[in-house]
Amino acid sequence: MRGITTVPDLIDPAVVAELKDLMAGDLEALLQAFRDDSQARLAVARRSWAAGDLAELRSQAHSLKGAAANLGVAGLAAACQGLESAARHGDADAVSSALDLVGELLNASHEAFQRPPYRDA
Amino acid sequence: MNPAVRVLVADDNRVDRMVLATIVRRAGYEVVEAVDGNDALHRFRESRPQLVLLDALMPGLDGFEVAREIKREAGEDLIPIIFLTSLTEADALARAVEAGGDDFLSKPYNQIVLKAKLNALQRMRVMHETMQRQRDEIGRHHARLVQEQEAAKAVFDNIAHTGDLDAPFIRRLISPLAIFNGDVLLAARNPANDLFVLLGDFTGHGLAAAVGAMPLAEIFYGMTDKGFAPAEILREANRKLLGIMPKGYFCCATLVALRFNKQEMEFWNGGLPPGYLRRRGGGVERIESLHLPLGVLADQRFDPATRVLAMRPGDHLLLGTDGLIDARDPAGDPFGYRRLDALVLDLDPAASAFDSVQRAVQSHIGDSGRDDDITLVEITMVAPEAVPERGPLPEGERQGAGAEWTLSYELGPRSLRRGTPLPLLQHIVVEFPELRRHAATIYTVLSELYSNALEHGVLGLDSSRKSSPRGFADYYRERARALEALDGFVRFRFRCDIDAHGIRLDIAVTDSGRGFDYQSLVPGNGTVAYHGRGLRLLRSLCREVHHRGCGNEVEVQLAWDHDGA
Amino acid sequence: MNDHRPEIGTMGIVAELSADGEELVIRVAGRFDFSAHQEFRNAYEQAPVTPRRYRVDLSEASYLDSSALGMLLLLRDHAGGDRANVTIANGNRDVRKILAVSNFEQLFDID
Repeated sequence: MRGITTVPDLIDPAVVAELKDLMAGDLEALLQAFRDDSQARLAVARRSWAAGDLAELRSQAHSLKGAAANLGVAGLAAACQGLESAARHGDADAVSSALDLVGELLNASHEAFQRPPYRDA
Repeated sequence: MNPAVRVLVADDNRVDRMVLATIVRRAGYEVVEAVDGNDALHRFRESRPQLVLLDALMPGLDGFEVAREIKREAGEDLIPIIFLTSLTEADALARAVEAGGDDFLSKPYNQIVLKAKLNALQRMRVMHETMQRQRDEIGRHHARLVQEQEAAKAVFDNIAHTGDLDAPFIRRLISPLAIFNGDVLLAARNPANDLFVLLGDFTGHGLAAAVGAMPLAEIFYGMTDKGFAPAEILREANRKLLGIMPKGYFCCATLVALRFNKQEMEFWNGGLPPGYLRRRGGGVERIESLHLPLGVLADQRFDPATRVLAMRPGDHLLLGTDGLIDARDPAGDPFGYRRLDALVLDLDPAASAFDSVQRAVQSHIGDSGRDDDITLVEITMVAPEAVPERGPLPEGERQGAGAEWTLSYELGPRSLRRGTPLPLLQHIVVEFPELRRHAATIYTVLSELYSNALEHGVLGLDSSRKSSPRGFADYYRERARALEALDGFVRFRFRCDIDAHGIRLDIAVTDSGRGFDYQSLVPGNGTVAYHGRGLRLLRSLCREVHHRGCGNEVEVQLAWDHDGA
Repeated sequence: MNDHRPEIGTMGIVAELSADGEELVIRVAGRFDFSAHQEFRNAYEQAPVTPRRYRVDLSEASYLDSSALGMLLLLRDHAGGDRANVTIANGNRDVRKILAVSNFEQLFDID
């Protein structure tokens, strides 16, 4: 794990508070949608990388970044931004490590969704 | 917030779309969701949302392409588009603006910011819609107005087409704007072939003016044709306009009757700029406005008193409306009464006032970009022989069943003061188809007989006073005074005999006056004075003219063969 | 056009009631033409009391057209028609000429 991956950095509590207020009873459905979507996107991103399709890789990273930001998973959004940027520059090492980081943080996000501030204590 | 306002939310990312849709719904809008660019276009066409939220980067059609297409299909409707993007690059923002984006929103979405943006764009949209509606309303209103004006003008043209404006001794200029501004020019000849011209200027523009012009034209043409006197036409026009026009609307007008037979002009001016009577050899007299316009005073206060001026062939009468006076130069200075007066009074007698005034006003206006609003008319007195016949009268049956009748008609003081009986008598006479084709001659004879009986008989006026222009004016003033005080009668006796060979019409007129020494009035004694015209005219039209009694009785005989002699 | 303040250089109409409420003075400035219609009407229709006399002060009026004459007739009508007491005052030479050509002295006191 590198630097920015601690749990408090991963989550932006202000965004989460607003999101809970907004979604109310629909929050769980939203989080579930993210779980399904994000796993799928990460898989597509990995396949694109293997196939050398950088444009598709960037597009998946971009999409994942937006969703992460909206769910208040700020650390994941930052990692996606890193992936997007590495893909744009075609830097193979950077893309590899960014893909790994996004995968790790995605798992961390799913776990975080089970706890406060997403869940009441 | 209006629940009927639909917002299209297009984002391929399900999570973002859910968040966004929730925010928009909670802000009170109805949401239509689209999962990519193609879907967005499809939903747009299907449900016609009023606002659009578009993700910039979507698979298939991207947001920029979708925005361009939506704007194209919206045409002149305003469909505000907010781009959803976490783009920070300036060129992407530029592409969004270029594609027709009205605003941006970046992730993570903030409820308050988005709600404010939606509401602002919605207000803008409503305002645009209101403006469009008002513009369309104004457009429709304008179109209707133009249509109504065209209809009014068509009706007016139908009424006015019988006019005599194309007579060779009338020159006229009426700019289209002048018609719209309520200027009316009417001309017609009465049964005696006198030329009646009415120049009017209605207050108010467009339809109000055109509406007033129609009854005015109808009264003018109808009454002129039947042989009514100017004062009676004016009284009727005033009464009618007062009745139908809204308060504060009226018609400035000049009515002129040019009597070619008598070489004189009768006129009335209520509210128009002065007309100018220019003598052929020099000398100008103003035809001043001495009356309130038509449609202002109640009938009992209305003054239709006309004045009469002697004219000679070649004398011109120039009339114009306010448009001349109001014509402004580029600095806004109106042409004005003084300029007009100075121009006409100082004009070389040989020069055309019509051309000079027109030129002067045009050059005054210059290239100020103002449309001209000018009505100008010039009427020239010509010798009776130079007046073309009136247009063809309705041709009666050439050979009727014949007729034999007598009629006696006596007018007492009240009737004499009331006005001319000629239209009534004329009406009876031309009931007979055989007489209809001689209507002009009959009218002229009747009118001579009547004015002689009234003026020289009942009123005892001395016609020799009309010899000088000065006396001429005095004569008509005296006539008006005497008419007020008169006591007496005029009696007509008609005897008409129409058979297979021809027509014979005897008319005898007796008045209550002292008579006159008719023995001294012999035809062809060489004195061509104004007062001589009446009798000379009678002698030229009638087979026989006899005076009887003490000169208070005159009997004329008119006769025609059926083949026109 | 609904407020009563005169605008510099254009038309402006101010109505002023005399202290005893007997006379309403309506001052017209600039071009007195159709554009003044509503404002001129407001000037006498919205007077707080019904005055005995009206005085239309044209000292600041540069020009008057036939629709202004119509407005004066409406005022006269409002003020009682033939019983109206309406004075038209202080017109410049051009304004007086227009009133004279229309023979408005038969309907109004021209001062």
